[in-house]
Amino acid sequence: MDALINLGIFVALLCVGYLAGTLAERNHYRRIRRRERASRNFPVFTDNDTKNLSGMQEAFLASGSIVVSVDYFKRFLANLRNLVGGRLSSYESLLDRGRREAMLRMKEDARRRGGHFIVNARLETSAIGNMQNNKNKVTCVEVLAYGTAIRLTNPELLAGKS
Amino acid sequence: MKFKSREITDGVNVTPTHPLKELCILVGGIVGTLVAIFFVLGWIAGWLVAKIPAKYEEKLGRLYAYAFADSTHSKELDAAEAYLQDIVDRLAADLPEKRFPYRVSIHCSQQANAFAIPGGQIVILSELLKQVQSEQELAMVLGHEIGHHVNRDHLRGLGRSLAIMTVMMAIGVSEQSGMAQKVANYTGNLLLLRYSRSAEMAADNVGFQLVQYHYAKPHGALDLFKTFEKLVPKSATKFPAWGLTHPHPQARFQRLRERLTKSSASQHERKPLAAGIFANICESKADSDNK
Repeated sequence: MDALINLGIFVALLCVGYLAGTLAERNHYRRIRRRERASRNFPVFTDNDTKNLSGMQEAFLASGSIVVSVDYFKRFLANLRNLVGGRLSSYESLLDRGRREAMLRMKEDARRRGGHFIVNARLETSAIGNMQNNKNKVTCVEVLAYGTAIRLTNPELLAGKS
Repeated sequence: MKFKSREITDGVNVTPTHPLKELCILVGGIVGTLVAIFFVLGWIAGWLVAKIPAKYEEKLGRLYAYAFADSTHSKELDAAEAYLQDIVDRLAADLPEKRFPYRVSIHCSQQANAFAIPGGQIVILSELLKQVQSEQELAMVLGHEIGHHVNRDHLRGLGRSLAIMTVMMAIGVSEQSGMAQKVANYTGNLLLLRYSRSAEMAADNVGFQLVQYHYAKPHGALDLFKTFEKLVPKSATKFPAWGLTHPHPQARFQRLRERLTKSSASQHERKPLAAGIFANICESKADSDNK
């Protein structure tokens, strides 16, 4: 009888997790796509070569970070996957959302502070939640995007960046 | 090199499998494997159990019996136990293969239940004795427990629990373990319950056979399930059987009822219990508890 009640609670949690998680993820992706389209003309580069750049007025650190978690259902899927190994596809979308959101926030940060583009962009990921003591474990990650934002004296030059 | 603004697409970073499909594959695979392992281990356990000598079983039984050992024995209790022992002896007299003498004892308790303990012991809780109405009904209780002994169910159950525990330990199930392990745990428990239910039905068969053999009018034996039905709360009868250790009383009643019509015993007469035999069995115990 106890096992039955526990099973019921567990299945209910899974359903709630699945529905809420799917909805949240779909909405997040929709926002990400819209903002990515809106900011596609703001360049981000991974190289750090600014020696040949003329008309540079200011350089500053731009960063954007996000802490994001998965739902109960996906955590459960990942847990099952842990038993047999293989692609943790339920966490792939979590990290994908994290990276894209962090990039967007970095761009927004740079733009708000007057930057025209970003060079030397980097991504960092760190897991939050104590893995050693897995009771009450919170499965979430922080994704941090940072780079050097450049402000030009004449933004028209942007098209000529070599 | 010029900067060219490109459309950003959903890249290659997310595997396009539907999470529900993945869930089905993973749960199906893990549960299937566990079931297979469990059946193999359970079969091995059952095979080994049949080889355990009676001597060791009795030793094991002493560990359990300790929990039911009452220090105070009133005259009424002794008389009641002798009465039960007489029924057990009669029922078990013609069993072909008896590893040890069956001994019955009464344990004072508010619960209505009875157990078979390894080594041929049968414990009946006093509350159940107050509920039964006829000797056939009482014989059904005792016959059922004898059935557990004949089938060596406690040892089989022990073997299977051990098998399940081994598997659970191998995949790291504990109080704080993750959810995958919990799924494994549920599967294991449900499998154990399935075995438990089939063992109960087998014990019912043996018990009822014994009653049919020794009583010309075995109809009263089925009253036991009516008594059980009265004892369990109404809400519990709505639980699906796969979550329970015993099949529903109605189902047990129906099954045996069918066999009764086949054997054409249509007399409904009940043999009454010895008058007042269970009336005061636990009175002195209750008194001493109150003091």
